Amino acid sequence: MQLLGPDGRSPGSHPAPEELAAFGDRQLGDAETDVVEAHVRGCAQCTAELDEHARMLDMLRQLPELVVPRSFVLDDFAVRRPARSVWPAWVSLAASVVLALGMIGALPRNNGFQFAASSPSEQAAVMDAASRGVDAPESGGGATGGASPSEVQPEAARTQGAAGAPESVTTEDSAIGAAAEVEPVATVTFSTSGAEPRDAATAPEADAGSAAADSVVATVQTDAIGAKTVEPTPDGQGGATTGATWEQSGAQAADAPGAVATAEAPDTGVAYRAGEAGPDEGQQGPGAADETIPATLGILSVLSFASAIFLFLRARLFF
Amino acid sequence: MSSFNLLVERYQGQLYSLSLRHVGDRQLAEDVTQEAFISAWRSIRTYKGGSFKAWLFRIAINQARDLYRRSNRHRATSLDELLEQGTVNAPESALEEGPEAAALSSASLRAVEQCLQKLPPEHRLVVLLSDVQGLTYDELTETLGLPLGTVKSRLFRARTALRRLLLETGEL
Repeated sequence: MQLLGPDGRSPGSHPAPEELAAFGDRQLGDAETDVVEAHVRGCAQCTAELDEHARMLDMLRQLPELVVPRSFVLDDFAVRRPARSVWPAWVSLAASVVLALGMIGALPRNNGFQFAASSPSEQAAVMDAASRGVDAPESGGGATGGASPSEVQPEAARTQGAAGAPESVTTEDSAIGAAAEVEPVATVTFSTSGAEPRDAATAPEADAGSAAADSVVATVQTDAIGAKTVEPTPDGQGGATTGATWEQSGAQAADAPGAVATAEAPDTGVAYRAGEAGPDEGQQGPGAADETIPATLGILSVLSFASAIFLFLRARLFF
Repeated sequence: MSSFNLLVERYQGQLYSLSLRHVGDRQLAEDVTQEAFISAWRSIRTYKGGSFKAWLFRIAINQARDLYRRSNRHRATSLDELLEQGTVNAPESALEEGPEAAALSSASLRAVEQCLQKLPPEHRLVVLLSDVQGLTYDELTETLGLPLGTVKSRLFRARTALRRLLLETGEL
């Protein structure tokens, strides 16, 4: 059994390196100092270690104090300026992004679009269809729209594909010569918020076996092409996998009174009928109060972004 | 403020020297020093006694960390540029050693500066605070915000690394 000293070490053992360094730094307590000192007195290795430690410390302590390039004495201007921080810049930048997103979100609603789609892709389809006026929306399929006069087939619509397959329907607005080829692979209902109840047609139910027939309800108002209502009616055999009903109404309903287009899909039994939208059914335009929302958000967004830029520059360059 | 400026005049050399050796950029060191004094003035009420030097150095280290992170400048000051700035308040020991010892000391100091710059930042900082600025262990714990055991072990590792570098250069 080995006897230990009062410090817990065997009498001949070396102190821990940190302890020896602390001894050299004179940072040990009195009791610890006495123990280490007693050991070092009879230990050449620790003595050499301490000598080397002392030489290095002596060199470090001789490092000169550097000349200050200027006085750092404070004045009123220095202590009164705002503390340098980039947090306000980040907050401002985040606010500008939020406001910009809010502005983007407010724009379609203000233009008469209201949609509630079950997926972003369907929302995109609704928005795409709305932007093209008579284009039918799609979900999971490739609706193609166009306005080529060569594709105009008045009073007719063509549905392609066998039962159970996505149909392609071409609708045409004779008043403007716009044609659209659609593939109603999902049930999509457009309804105008300001339209008469009779125009808010019910979409044909999707085939029970069509799992992709998600319902999308949307309101489309396309002032450029006037008011019209197109509503599919699944009255045929075989059944389309999906149906599509959309209605367009607008403040310019009077521009195309009686514009009727009927799309029939003999193969699938899907028929699209364009309802007549008279001037009295025209969608009322967005109110003046609604128009100010995106404009206000836009101004706030620009101001916030400019503030963020200013704060970043001030934090990095000027102070 | 005039009373506080007496403290500024007293500590600005030490604070600037620490900052420059720590961040390695003259402009950044100026910013650190100025911001540290401003921050100290603003938060002087939070000073609860103890070592003012340790409290001030802690503020400076925090400022250096923030400014260094924000700045694109990274140790742009060369060792020669750093040494060319001259010295003030030279240690008495250096003045007492005579011309021959002073010349030797100058070469050695240059080697020490070079070796210090080769250390990792956290090792360099603890050596600067302890062995150049002369803070005690208690002041080190206050300045670095670390437990005493961590301070001791870090200081030991830093010194070991520095000693190895000095031995390689033949200075020890």
